Amino acid sequence: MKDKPYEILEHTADIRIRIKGKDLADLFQNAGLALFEISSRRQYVKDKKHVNLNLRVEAQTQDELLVNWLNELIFQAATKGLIFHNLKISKLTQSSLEAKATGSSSENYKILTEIKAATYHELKLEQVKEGWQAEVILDV
Amino acid sequence: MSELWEGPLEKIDDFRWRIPRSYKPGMRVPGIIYADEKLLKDIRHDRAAEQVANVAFLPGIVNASLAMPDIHWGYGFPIGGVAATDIAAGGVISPGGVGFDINCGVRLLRTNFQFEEIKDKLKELVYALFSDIPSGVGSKGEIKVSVKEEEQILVKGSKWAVEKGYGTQDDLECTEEFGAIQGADPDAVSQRAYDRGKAQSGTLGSGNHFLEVQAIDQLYDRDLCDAFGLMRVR
Repeated sequence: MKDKPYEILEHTADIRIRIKGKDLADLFQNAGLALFEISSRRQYVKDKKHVNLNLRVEAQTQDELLVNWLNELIFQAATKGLIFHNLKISKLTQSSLEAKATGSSSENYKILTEIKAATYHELKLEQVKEGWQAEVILDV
Repeated sequence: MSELWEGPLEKIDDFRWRIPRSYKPGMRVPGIIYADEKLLKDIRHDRAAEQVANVAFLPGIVNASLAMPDIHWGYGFPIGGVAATDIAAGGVISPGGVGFDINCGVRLLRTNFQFEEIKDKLKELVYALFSDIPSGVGSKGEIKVSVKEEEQILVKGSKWAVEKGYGTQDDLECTEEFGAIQGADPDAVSQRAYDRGKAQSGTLGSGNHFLEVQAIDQLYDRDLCDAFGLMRVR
């Protein structure tokens, strides 16, 4: 089995994750999926319907774009009652991205914890030998 | 465990420790942590003390960046952090200072039961509360309201619930600020915030919001307890 593209690091009260990606788009996708892998587990089949959303996110900087992207996913999931299982970034620049998010009803999942927001606190986004790496603290 | 925080903590007395302004350039006031020596050892185990120093940078901060004995690692502010800012001196209001869960509150509801009467039925009691009171992620309340109504809830607070018959005048009397802090401006709240919050009306909320059943084993303030009609377990 392939290694998970993210790991959970130590933090007293919230969740700190380190995410890897072979390029920036890969990292953004992995970070987004990590949100839902950490907070839910697929358990039932109550509603088979898949929902596709086209999302567009903007920011002043690349760091901010990562946080805004994660918060957009959290917002869409919370208000539409969805859990996303597939994310495809189709366009990515320094200050904006376009993506397709595919999910299904949160009723198909056991909810393990609620992630309220991605934060800027001790946010890291950097290029490393193997590609890109980021650290984000999630407010739970 | 991560590395220890090695910053300076000057002893003021047995329960107060100061992080001097000289610790970091930019600190406008010192940091003061309320803790005994035993707690202090734990506090050094994460980055909370560093956050006390960081809060001291806030524009308009008054006197000191404080931390209560429950201090632990948050983001921005430490959890247990307290700071006052003077608006006239360029002070800011920091959502981080209230952990972003602004208006997260606590209510105490007294039952007419004695512990003896229900101690064998606690399991049933907890199940009944859990099934009747919507709580947790994705829970939806019985109360469905329109956007206009949502704005009324924001302005009137608990009074809205009493008007709808979900509570009594006595409930307001027993609530801080009578259940609504004056001067709320519903237009200052973004559409996104309304969208995110609207399913939660009439629920306990999600995340770390909870309900617990307690018995009283000790009274600290007799007059206050009399006012609330609270008695010790017999």
